[in-house]
Amino acid sequence: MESQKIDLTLGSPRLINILIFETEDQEDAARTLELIRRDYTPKSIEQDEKSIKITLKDVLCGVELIKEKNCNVFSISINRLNDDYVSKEWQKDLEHYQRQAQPILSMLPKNPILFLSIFAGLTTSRGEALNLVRQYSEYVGCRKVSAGIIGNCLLGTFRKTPGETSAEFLRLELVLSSMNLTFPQVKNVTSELLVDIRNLAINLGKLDRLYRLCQPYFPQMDPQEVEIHEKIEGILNRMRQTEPVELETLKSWLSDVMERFSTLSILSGLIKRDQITAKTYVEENKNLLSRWSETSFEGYPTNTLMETIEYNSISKPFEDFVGRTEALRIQLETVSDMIRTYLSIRQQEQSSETLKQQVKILHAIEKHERLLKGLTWVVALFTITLVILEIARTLHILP
Amino acid sequence: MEFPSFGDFYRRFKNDPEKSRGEAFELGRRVGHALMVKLNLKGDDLDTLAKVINAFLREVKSETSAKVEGSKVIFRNRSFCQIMVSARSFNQPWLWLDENFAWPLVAGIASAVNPNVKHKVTSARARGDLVCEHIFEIIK
Repeated sequence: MESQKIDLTLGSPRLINILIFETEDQEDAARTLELIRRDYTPKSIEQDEKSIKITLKDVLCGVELIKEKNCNVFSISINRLNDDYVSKEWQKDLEHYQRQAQPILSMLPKNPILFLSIFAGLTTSRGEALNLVRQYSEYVGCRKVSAGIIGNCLLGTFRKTPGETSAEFLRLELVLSSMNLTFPQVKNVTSELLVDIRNLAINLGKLDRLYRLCQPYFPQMDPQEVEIHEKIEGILNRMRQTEPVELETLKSWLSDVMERFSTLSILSGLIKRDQITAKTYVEENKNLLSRWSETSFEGYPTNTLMETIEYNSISKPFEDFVGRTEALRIQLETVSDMIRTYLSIRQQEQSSETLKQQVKILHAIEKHERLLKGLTWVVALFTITLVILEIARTLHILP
Repeated sequence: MEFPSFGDFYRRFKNDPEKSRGEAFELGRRVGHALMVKLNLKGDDLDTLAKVINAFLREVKSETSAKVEGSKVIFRNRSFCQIMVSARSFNQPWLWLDENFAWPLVAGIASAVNPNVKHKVTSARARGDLVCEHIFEIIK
């Protein structure tokens, strides 16, 4: 590779590791910082409640805890004690920094939502900056690279594709190089940029975490649709037949359809809520990125463009899921209305049949009553005749 | 029959999945025994196992049913379930709830019918599969 042959010197190299944690336990983060402070007491040279500075041989290590947007952010930065240090082999310096940072990183909680590593330094020209991007890309083994110029700084982002990483959280590698600036100028420019990067990272971490939680739901739409369509088809086919459907069957269909309808409605609402949350993170980041007015660099896609593509690909499955569950909901609602109507007609039919039966019974009763009345008269007449005959016999009118 | 809320279960045991699995299995065993009494079942064979699991699936309004297939009892689910709803309601990982609550609970229910039942989840939607498949075998 040509990039490897060109010598590259990097002024004031610095490594900044940013780890973002969701604030489920605020005290946990403060306790972690306290532990670091305690372990490095003899070496810590400056400290306040939320930050520690530690001198380790030839490097200065800063640990800072920032609470922002419901997240705990740990920032661990490492640079040489001498600000004017120029690295001739940046890879060796980076590895040296990583070794120094490792014991501190291992003291942090184990479940970040995002791990961001920023390697920063001064380059003297665009050619050197380009070389740094190429060499770093090779060094970290990332093929998905974006880069752009923001003010006087080059920012390169190195993402691993899903196949290249197995981490349960998002991991990003960034290179930040100030071009043609003196060290004091660099401090101002990069510190502003680093705050922006941190804010972007918080939203990105939250977005990634939300996506990871929702991701298993997205492929479930296909089997769910097939299942519901089969169910609906079965119901409609049976209803089309001339033989009437039993009331009990209709009731069980209705309960089944309503059960599915309610589960689907709740889930659709929940994913809709997540979609809105995701949109908020995306909008905030897009606003921030648009303020950068990033310009392209040597044919690389800009960070803004890559981020926008990434956000769109994350947002799309939420949108699809909500749209498809809504469509299913409407179908289930229509089927439940049909079953209700059919059920009501069947109930009416059944009650009119019952009414006919009752009328028939009434007529029969009436007929029986009339018969009984007639019989009663016959019996009465017969009894009267018998009584008269008896009286006549007693009075010797009859023999 | 009352089940603890999935959300409460996660909050109680999220840092101790092993304990969660133990609690869920024990709860499942109690549920299994209660169902056997309710259905007046006394066997320990595959038919009884399928009946008890189906009674449980009805209780939790699942739209699937277990069937005896050869020497196994199998149920497959591809419709949205209560665990999926609960996981999103409380912003909890679906796979955690499955692995540390739902699956041990089902295994516990099966063990109430026969302690030698081996329960396997061969396919899980929380892992990205398109169907959840549970297989129960009685080990002799």
